[in-house]
Amino acid sequence: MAKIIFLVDDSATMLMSVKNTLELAGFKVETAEDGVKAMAKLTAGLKPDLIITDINMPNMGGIEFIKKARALPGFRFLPILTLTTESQQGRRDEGKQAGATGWLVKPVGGADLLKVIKQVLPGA
Amino acid sequence: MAVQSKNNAEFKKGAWRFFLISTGFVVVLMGISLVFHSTLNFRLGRYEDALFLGLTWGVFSVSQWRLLTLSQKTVKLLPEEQVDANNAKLRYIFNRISTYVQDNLAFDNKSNVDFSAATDKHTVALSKAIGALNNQIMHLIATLNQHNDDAEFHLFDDLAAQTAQAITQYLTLSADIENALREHITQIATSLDDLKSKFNALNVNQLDTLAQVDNTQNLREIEDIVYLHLSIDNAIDEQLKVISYDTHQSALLLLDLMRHLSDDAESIVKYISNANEKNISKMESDMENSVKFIISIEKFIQNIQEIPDKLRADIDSIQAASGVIDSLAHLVDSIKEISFQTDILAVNAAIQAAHAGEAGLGFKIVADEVRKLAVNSNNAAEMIESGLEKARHTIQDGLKFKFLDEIMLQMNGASQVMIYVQQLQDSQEDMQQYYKTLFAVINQNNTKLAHDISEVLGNIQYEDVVRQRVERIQEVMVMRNDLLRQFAAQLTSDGSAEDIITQLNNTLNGYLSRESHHNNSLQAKDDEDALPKFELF
Repeated sequence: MAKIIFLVDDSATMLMSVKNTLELAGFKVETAEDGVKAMAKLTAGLKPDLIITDINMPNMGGIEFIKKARALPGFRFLPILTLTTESQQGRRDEGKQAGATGWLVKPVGGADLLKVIKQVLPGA
Repeated sequence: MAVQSKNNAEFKKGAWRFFLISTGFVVVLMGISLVFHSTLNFRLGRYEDALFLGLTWGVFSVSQWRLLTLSQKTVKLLPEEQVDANNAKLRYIFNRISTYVQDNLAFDNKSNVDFSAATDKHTVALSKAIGALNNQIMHLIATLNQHNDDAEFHLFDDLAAQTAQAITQYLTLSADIENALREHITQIATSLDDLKSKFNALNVNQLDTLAQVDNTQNLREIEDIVYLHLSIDNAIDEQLKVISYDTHQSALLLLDLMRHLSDDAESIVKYISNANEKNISKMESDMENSVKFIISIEKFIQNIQEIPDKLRADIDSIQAASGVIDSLAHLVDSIKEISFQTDILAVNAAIQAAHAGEAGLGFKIVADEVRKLAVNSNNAAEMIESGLEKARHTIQDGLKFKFLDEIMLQMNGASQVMIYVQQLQDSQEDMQQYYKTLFAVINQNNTKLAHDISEVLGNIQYEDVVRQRVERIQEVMVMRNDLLRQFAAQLTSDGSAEDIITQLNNTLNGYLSRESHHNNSLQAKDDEDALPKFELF
């Protein structure tokens, strides 16, 4: 059964590129354009194996989304990676505090992305 | 002659000085003002005005140069003996001109000419004035040459007056433009983009001097704003460099990856087409053979299925033949028994004939003949028996050979079938191996293709990185332009621009701070202490 990765980013290019990379690697991919839409999908019953989210998004940013997702039942130990242009230590700390599992700075090549995913999703 | 030459040289020097003093100042001033305003107009999108100003400056410079050259030539053409007289005339004329100019020219530093509204008017007027002045001076020189021998100096009064008027008009217009330029320098502030390069060249001292001449407070604020603006532009420039670098790198990477993709795809196509050429014909003949083998095997199986029926028929016929032979054997035994009893009967008859003596002689002959018959019968029976035995052997042997032949034939068929089966198995293994290799190669190439495609897709993320950077630039530019607009509006009132300067400062610092939060590939390239691109908490 293919693992489900939930991709949250406001950029259509990002969604397209990362979705295709992950699908080529055999994952099932769900997407959302911002934190609000992502939360709606999670509360509607989506149970991903991994979440990859952008930080700067309209309506609801990545940090807030991570906090809210972590509060949902069954999402306490789910791996959540950020994929953002932000690289400053302060922002990384914010992400870590919100409950992110790892911090990835855009752009990330397909091989590198899959390597990190394998680290947080053993057996994937 | 020596004195004349000296006078001539002095005259030339004087003529140079005159033109330089009268027009040099204006040339320089106009040069600066025209360059400033043509660039300003260009940045404001008033390309026709900019072109017109540029052309005016060009025409003006050329005409000045031509004028100086012409005056020099004209002077050179004068005969030596007339130099003194001409010098006297020229001094007279220059004095008249000087008086007119001094009387009529009033530099009004406080003149409030609306530069932006008057620019075009001034430019046209100035260009006309320059033309008129040039004509006047040329006319003056020509007239001077025509009247070399004429001692009537007053003939030149009107001409000198006209020339002086032209110079006065020209200098007045220039002064107006200069004043307008100084008073309306605020317009320059609204097109700071354009002025960036100019102000970089213009040192602080020059700005300070400008500030001392007029409204010090205003000019200092303008200076502050210009420098802040330049700082924002520099910050944007830095990011544009990063964007350019990222775009370039991304394009190179994408090109490289696309080449890989193309190579991989090509190698698959090549491999498959080669494999086809080499193997298809062989596979086709293998298939044909396989079909033949299968037909042969089918026939053989049919034969094997017929064997039990044949065998049963053969056994039946053997049993029938044996039965006939057996019944014939009984018959032979009966003949033998009859022959034996006949022999005993003949012996008894001979004994009885001997007892009868001569009377029994005929009977004895008959008894002998009967005995011969019995012996012959026995011989015949044995011959039949032996014949029957032979016949039975022959039938049995015949059947046995026929059966063996059949078996041998079937055995041959079976061994042929074994070869066919082996060949079929070989072809099947060949085909399996062929497809296994083909799939392995295709699979390997597909993995490479998938990897390359995934890398290409990863690189598309540069678009998002660059887009965000451009959006931040757009944001800071909108904020800056708003503040500059506020500042321009404030200049018409007497208020201070201190608040706007603070806001502009905050805008710059905010932008720099936001930008520092984001990954900078140009800095990361050289910075060994840069934070990692991937970090697991």
